[in-house]
Amino acid sequence: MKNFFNNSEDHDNKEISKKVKQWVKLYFGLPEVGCVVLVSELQCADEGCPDVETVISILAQPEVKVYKIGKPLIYVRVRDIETLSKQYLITQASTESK
Amino acid sequence: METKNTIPVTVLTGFLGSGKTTLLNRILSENHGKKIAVIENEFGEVGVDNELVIGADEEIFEMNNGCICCTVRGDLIRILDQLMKRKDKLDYIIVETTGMANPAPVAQTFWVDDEMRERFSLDAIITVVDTKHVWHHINNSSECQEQIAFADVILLNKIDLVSEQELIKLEQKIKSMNSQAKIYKTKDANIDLNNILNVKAFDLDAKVELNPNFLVEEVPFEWCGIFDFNNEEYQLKMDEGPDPTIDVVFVKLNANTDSDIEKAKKETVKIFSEEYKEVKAENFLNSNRTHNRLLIEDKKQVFYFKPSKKGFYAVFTQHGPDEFNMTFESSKIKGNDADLLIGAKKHQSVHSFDNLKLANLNLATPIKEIEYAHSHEHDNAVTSVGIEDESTLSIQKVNDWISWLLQNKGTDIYRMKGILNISGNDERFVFQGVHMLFDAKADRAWRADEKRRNQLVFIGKNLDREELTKGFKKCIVKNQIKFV
Repeated sequence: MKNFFNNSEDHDNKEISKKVKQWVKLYFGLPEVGCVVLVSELQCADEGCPDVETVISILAQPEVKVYKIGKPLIYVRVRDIETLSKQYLITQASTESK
Repeated sequence: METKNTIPVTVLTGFLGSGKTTLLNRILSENHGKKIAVIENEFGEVGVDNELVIGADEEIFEMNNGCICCTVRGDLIRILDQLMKRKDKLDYIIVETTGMANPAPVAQTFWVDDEMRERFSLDAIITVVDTKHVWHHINNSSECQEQIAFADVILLNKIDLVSEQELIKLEQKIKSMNSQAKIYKTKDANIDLNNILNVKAFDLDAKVELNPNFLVEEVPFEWCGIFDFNNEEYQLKMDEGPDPTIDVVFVKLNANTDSDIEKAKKETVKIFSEEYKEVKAENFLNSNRTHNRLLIEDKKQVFYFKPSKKGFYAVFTQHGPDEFNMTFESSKIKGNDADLLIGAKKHQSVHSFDNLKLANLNLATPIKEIEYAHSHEHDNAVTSVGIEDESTLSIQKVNDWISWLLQNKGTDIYRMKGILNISGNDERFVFQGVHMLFDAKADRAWRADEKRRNQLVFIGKNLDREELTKGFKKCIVKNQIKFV
């Protein structure tokens, strides 16, 4: 469960958030300009969802893509982003081949 | 929320024709020397030289399928990203929403990402209300209700088009929906800009204080009657109403004065949040300082009460007497009076007791009647629920409770705000939230001359006062419950 009243985690979260954005841009091959990446931590009440999950939103043109990682931001590692990006790239390739 | 080196952002909402554009033009034409960017969804007649006006197409996206709590404005994020790349630095940003917009996705846009929070600080949500025409929407438009509920500042605009009485009624209604918003009455949206810009409503580093009248302004009852009861048995008679129960509280007054009634009102707000005592028909209820919940299972239900002392009493009822065809009478007269009473009621309009006096029955008629804004509605109404208490709280239990609330009630709780007295801490804890997004921190130290107390306000729809109060009480250390 998230500790709402302990701000000591905030600084760590900010640092990891910046890193995650860099990893996303790198592994997803996103352009530096015209594409915004958001990194958020959400508590989801849906059955089967973890208490806290990390949501990555890629605001590319023309659409927004949203990815979830089932753990708090502080535990997100580069391999998580790499895994996501593989799915993304496969989807992209199949879309382009159609 | 961080404020250092951030650009403040004001969100301007209000129905079409409420005066948003007039206000915007007023802000832009004022000689403030600031570089302001305006992001607007519907092009009005805004356009002042040297100001940056950007059109936006509302692009809402969900970070969590189907959950309003996790929706943000994609177009806004893209525009803000572009603005940050400009060489000339902006001093202020105003986001004007469409007339039918829910302010939540706009507000949440500034909370969901650390980088957004580092660059921008949501200053306040300003809602402009057309006092003349708002009644067409206030009870049935969720957008209108949301715009009022989310607001930090509400401008009751076009006051020259309504009577003073209409204005009072509207103000009461709005306060019952949102007890925290600062309300200003304006003509042509003429307002001192200091009241609407740099308000720092979302800034936990700013002085966090709740409206001191927050408990009084969102009263959970609709009616109060002042009676002069004897020390004898009375009957409270009522028919079925819109709900299967009605909450009733009696408070003995020292005198029939406005200050005594006001004191009783404040006390009753707290009694209403305490455990209720269920009372079935044909039983006695408690006639002094008890939260009675009367079960109305049939027509012509009779409840009894016997005041312990002769004197003035304030009787507060959750609903208006007309909704339950409610009458008070002495038990001295028995027989067919109930039928006579119903007959007498049918010939009068709503709940004025004056005509009943004419029926020459042994009625206890109120000396005075006070109606309160309908804070308690029968459907998905937007209301405020306040809790004030001097107990000490367990930080762990508060954390668990807030976590549960965010997960399970996040959709219905539009905004929450509070000051907490945490066990083992000499500092106040302050928090606020928009739907499921939540921010909290330790604030300044409690002053020696101030009472340590918890003050919490929830604004939203379908809010259950009892459930919220129960949840709060579970956070109290040592089971001490000491209401102020």
